[in-house]
Amino acid sequence: MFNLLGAEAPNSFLLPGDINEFYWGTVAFVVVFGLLGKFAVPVLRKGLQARSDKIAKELGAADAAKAEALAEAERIRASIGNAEADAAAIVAEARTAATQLVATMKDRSIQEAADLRTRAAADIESQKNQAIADLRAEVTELARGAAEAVVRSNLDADTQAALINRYIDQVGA
Amino acid sequence: MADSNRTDVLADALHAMVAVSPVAGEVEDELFRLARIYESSDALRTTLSDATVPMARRHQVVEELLSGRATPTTVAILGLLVSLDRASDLPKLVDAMARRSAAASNRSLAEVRSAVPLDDAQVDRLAAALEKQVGHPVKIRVIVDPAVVGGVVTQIGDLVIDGSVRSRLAQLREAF
Repeated sequence: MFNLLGAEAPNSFLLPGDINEFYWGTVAFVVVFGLLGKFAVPVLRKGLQARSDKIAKELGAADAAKAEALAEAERIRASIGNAEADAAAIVAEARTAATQLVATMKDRSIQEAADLRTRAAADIESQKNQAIADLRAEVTELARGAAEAVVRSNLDADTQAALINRYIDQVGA
Repeated sequence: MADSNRTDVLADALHAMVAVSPVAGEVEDELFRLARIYESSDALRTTLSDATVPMARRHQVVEELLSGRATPTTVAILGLLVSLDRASDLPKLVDAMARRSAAASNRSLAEVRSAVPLDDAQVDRLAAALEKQVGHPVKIRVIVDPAVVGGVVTQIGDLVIDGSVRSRLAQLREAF
């Protein structure tokens, strides 16, 4: 059949005109195919296996990283939750302290105001008493001076004599 | 000799000098008035008592002050005190001498202070009133003291009878 297919026309489109080329070509093809199967396929298969292993390893690492990331995220969420609780406690404590401070300051202000009022009242009373005493002393001095002036102006000779005579009468009584 | 003893001796001597004077009462009055003037006059005290003033100058002041205005006995007594440098003791000596004089006549010395002089009738009436008050005769020495203002203050020993306007004014001041 090979001869038939290539016998008549050197320019057959299925087989070369020289059938030997076909034979030798087939042999060469088998040889090359065998060599490829003998040497190239294992290498390719090994390369593919290594690549598969590498990918599988990388996928495992990715899964581990993912799990670790999830755990870290969980820890962060937990930390955030604790921080919020701590912040809330701090805020509450600060509010309590502020409330106590306000109450303390209010009490202290009330006490200081009361003390100031007491001292002011005492000062006012003292100053009032001092002013009254000063005024009384001044009035006394003025009255005494006026009385002396009146008495001296009225002590003429007759009055002096009358005073002396009355004194003598009282001594002898 | 202690200073008080010297003063007593000097007072006795002055009393003896006055006692032998024919005008003893007048001399006593002059010395009494002179003592009051000495107490009230800074210039006189300084002149008669200052040791830095020469003795002759002090005697000259005595002469100028008393010549023709006092008895010779009074002038001699003051000159004696100046010579003894005891002029500063004049008031004390005159008071001691007056007490001796009063005691010699069995009388107490009454120091009477008044703003104006007392006339003789007032002195006699006051002497009688004081005699009635203390139970024995008194000899009155009147001191004219304007500080009394009015009325009379009498001191006989520790007894003080104050009828002065000054004390009334003081009581008025205390009453306020």
